[in-house]
Amino acid sequence: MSILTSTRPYRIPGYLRPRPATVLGLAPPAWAAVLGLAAMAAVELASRTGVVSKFDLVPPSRMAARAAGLLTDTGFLTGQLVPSIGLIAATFAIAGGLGVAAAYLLWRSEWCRKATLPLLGVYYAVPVFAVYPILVVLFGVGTAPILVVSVAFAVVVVITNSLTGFDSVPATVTKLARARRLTARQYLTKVLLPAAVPDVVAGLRLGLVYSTIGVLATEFILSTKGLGHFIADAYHTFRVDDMYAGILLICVVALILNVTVAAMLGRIDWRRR
Amino acid sequence: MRGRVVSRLVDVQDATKKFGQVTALGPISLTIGEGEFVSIVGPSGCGKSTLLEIIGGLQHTSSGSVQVRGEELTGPRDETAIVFQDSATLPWRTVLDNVAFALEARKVPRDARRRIAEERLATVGLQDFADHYPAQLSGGMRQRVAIARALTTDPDLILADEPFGALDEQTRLLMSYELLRVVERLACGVLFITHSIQEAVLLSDRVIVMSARPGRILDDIAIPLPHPRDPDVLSQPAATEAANRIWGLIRREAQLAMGAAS
Repeated sequence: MSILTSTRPYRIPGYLRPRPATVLGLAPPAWAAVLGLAAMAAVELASRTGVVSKFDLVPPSRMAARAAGLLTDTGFLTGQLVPSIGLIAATFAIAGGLGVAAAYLLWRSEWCRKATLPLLGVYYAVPVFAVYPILVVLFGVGTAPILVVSVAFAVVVVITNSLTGFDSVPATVTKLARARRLTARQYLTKVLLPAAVPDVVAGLRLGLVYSTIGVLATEFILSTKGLGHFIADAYHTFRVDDMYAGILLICVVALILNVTVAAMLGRIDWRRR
Repeated sequence: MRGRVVSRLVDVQDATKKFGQVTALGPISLTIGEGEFVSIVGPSGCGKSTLLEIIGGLQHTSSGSVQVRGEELTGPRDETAIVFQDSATLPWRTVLDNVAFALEARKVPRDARRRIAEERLATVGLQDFADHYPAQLSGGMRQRVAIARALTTDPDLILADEPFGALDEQTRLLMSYELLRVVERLACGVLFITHSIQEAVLLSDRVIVMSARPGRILDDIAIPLPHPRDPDVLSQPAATEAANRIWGLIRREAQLAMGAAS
């Protein structure tokens, strides 16, 4: 039924907070889990029945078993998992802080904005990872070049989104602030920052995704430890079970990080109330 | 007090406003007495809002002088409250905190802030919506929030820029009537911009008709209707006569403005 012929009221007052509709007794979020599990089951089946070679595609149950094994392996935890999560957290913190601060600077200075915005606009057209040979020369192999590449990769999306947020104060609200003679500090804390929060939050959520991609991708090519390196190494040495277990762990880590950070950021986002 | 001007609240003398080479406004001279309700009507783009912002201290004149309570205006003053065309509510704050915003800027202690805001919210009939957010209210309710906020600082002058312009005709007349009751009680001067001749006649002690750009005053019409007003006064002969006179002036200017635009 199209939205035009539907008898469902399409605009419900926000304060009513209706319960989500259910299909076959399940709410939409539950269906997401069902679909995810069904996809896993299909892969399991394809692998077990021999439709796909077990060497090409390991059954998810074996991935999970190997991943669980890795999680009890102290060497793997301290050598691969913890360094990666640490790097993602560091990248996210640096890119987030730097990004919001840079956006505020661009918002303050028309000159800076006009000088840099065209560059920021085409920034993601240039593949950051292509410059990794230069970074190897400059920083060697290890933590520093990973941080540099990942921060460079993640910071711009935070900047552009935060800038949109700072720009989102309606003209009349600024007039109201002037008419009420707010000090510069009051304007910052009572108008500008709260107004920017939803877009800053969106930028930070993307920033986390970019941080994760940046760290893991760079570990593939620039590192001797970390989850990314672990997968690359397993891949090069035909340890298929390890490779798939690593991929599964990456997915789980990224998922947990995202859900946690999104929930934390969602608490300060007034649009989600 | 009403209808009898005690002393001058606002005194604008030969004010002009130029944007680059373009003269947007004036020269214009007008006065608003203490507790007087003055409406401005005029074609779109005639500089009504510019004039309002000049009197509110948000814009400077290019020449001429603006005095409020006998003092030359240099910027926004605390006793002037502005109600903007859109409600200028802050979507991240509850209705109550929106109303308290002006007090917060002035560093009024929290308890006093809350008490005054609740009181003003009741004045506009929104006491049951204190904990709601602006997005949960209708356009008319949001504009009432803005009016409640304007009232928190005990203004002696309220500048309203088409505050009910986005509302339907019936709601607009009811709301402007409510506004009139409130400002009559507080005895503050009002400069009220509107496109509705009915509204202007119903509310005002004087209606000022402005010309197409550059905005000048075409006529300053006293509305000889008794106070307190109620919506029935619109059917009185004096009201009809004033409305016809305003409409005659406006029609010619609107035609001129449309001709200039095409």
